[in-house]
Amino acid sequence: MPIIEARGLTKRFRRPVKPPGLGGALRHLVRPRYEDLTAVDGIDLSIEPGERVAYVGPNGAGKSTTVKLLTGILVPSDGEVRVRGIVPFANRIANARNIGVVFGQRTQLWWDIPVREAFRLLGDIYEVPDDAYRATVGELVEVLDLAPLLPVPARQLSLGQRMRCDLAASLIHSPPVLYLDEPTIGLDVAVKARFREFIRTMHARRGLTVLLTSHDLGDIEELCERMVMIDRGRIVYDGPFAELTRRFGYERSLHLLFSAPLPEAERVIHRAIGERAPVIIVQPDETSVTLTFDGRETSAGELIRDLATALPVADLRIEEPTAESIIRKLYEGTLSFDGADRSDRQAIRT
Amino acid sequence: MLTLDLHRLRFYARIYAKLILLQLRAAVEYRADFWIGVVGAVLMNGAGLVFIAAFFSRIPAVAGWSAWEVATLYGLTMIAYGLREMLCDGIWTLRVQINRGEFDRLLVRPLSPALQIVTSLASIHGVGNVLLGLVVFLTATHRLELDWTVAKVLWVLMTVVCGLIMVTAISFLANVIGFWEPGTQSSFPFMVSNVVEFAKFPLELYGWGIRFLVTAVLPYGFVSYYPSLILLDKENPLRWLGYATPLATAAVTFVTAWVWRKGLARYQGVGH
Ligand SMILES: Nc1ncnc2c1ncn2[C@@H]1O[C@H](COP(=O)(O)OP(=O)(O)OP(=O)(O)O)[C@@H](O)[C@H]1O
Ligand SMILES: [Mg+2]
Repeated sequence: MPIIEARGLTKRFRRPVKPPGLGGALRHLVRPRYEDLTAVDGIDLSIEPGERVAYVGPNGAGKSTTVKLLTGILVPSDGEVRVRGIVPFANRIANARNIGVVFGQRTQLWWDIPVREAFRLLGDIYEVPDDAYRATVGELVEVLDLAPLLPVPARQLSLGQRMRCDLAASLIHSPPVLYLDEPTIGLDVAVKARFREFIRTMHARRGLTVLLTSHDLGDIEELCERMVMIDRGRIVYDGPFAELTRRFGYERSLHLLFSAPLPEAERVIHRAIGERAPVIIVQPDETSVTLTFDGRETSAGELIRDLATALPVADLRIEEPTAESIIRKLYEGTLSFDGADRSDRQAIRT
Repeated sequence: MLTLDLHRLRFYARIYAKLILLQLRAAVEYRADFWIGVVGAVLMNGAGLVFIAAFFSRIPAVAGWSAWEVATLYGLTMIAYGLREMLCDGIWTLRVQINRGEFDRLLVRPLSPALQIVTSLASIHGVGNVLLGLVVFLTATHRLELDWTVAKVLWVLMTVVCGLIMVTAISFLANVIGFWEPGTQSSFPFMVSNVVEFAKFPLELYGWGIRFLVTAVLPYGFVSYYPSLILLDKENPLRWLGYATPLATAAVTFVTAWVWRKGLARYQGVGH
């Protein structure tokens, strides 16, 4: 049975429409006008216990809003959501016991209270039994190396230190579900690596279910086997991270290096491959050329066979798209999600 | 839900005490702030007391109230208000927390958001108010040669507890506006809160408008004036209202809880 389940989950924000300037503000006072903004638009999501899911999408896609709906911070405008069988917004307190939440932008700790005291308070608030508390905090302090930070109030922690304390704070009551909204924002490479290691350890030890939003592909690649991508409030991809390159990585490049200068390479190539497939040819200088083509229409092997005899090829390199380039193109809208669609070829040309 | 769950109640009391003590300790650690708070409270209310002294040096009584009787009202109000500042000042951070989206985190903890908001800050200013209020109140009742029976002691305790609850409830009402208008500029909450100043003097001094305001709209009158009618044995047609103090406090608390829930349901967070 899924641990997190959402059906048709929708959130509309009502925003005041205020014409610019003081006059506009005054007009708004007299006759207020509002517009609806659909931040999350009918999302279906089902996450099994122990899954680690990356929730990605361009800025403003609705990721944070979804996390707030799943954690019970916001009340959905439409649709259903259950986390461990509990409707989060209707039963916030019961739901809170099941979840840990970390928001990268702001701390969950008390500003003026030392970290040690904050941990103890959380232990009391979540009614963690003494021995369980000692074991858990002992483990968290060790794995995250928090010992030197314990006497420091949250306001004096650096961003990375605060992040580590926040992570520990979110797990003191050993919740089965952990939500992380951009947890690595602003962290240095070493702290990032440590964070990922920590999540992997906790996942292995406790079978945590993790939902993570991030703009850092490393987080996603290293932590999550499943990726859900949303765009303008709708899910556009839901599947294994690795599948993404298989499904959308049909754009290939073939780089050729000539043994002698060949200014008219483009004409020669067109003649050699004939009608085989549309190819985009870019010649940066006289001794090299780059061909970009659709991997579903032709293969690098066929192209090389055609060209090897027609051109003085000295060296060659085949380039497959990286996940990063695919995601960037998906965000930019230059790559369409309807995978097999012919119009994709249009996309390739841009 | 008004089910009385004793375990839950004890749990909340314990968590509340821990949180507020930690916050008070943190406040004391900002040492300059501590002294500014204490001295500030004394100076602010000291001015009011000097005014009373100057006023009554010429006239022995106003509308049937002697100087020490007015001082009793003044002291009671300061105690209730100061306790509120000490124990529940966090409510004044509500609008900022809503405005910045910091309120989010209160909704993912297994604890009532109201309890979390009142404990998000403890003001040292209140310590000064409570101490000065106590001195004023005790001196005044001593000068009035008040006969301290057990009933009177209990009555004063009831008055102070109800006063604290009343002042806190009205502070909530004043700040809950943040759920409707998340700006932090509005002076509305301060205006509402400052109405308490009227309660430091006998209501006979005011016209019917203000009397109505502090009796039925923002019933600060029940913080000191009405219960004092009984404590000081004043002849007054409205004396019976003194006995309604717990009732008035309960009514305001009830309305506040209702408005709070309405506001909470409106919470939309912020855009990141
Ligand atoms: N409280 C709010 N009131 C009005 N509009 C909001 C509110 N919160 C979010 N929005 C809007 O909803 C949309 C989705 O916002 P959200 O914060 O969920 O995006 P996101 O995917 O987390 O983006 P990012 O990657 O930039 O964090 C945005 O257009 C945003 O302006
Ligand atoms: Mg976000």
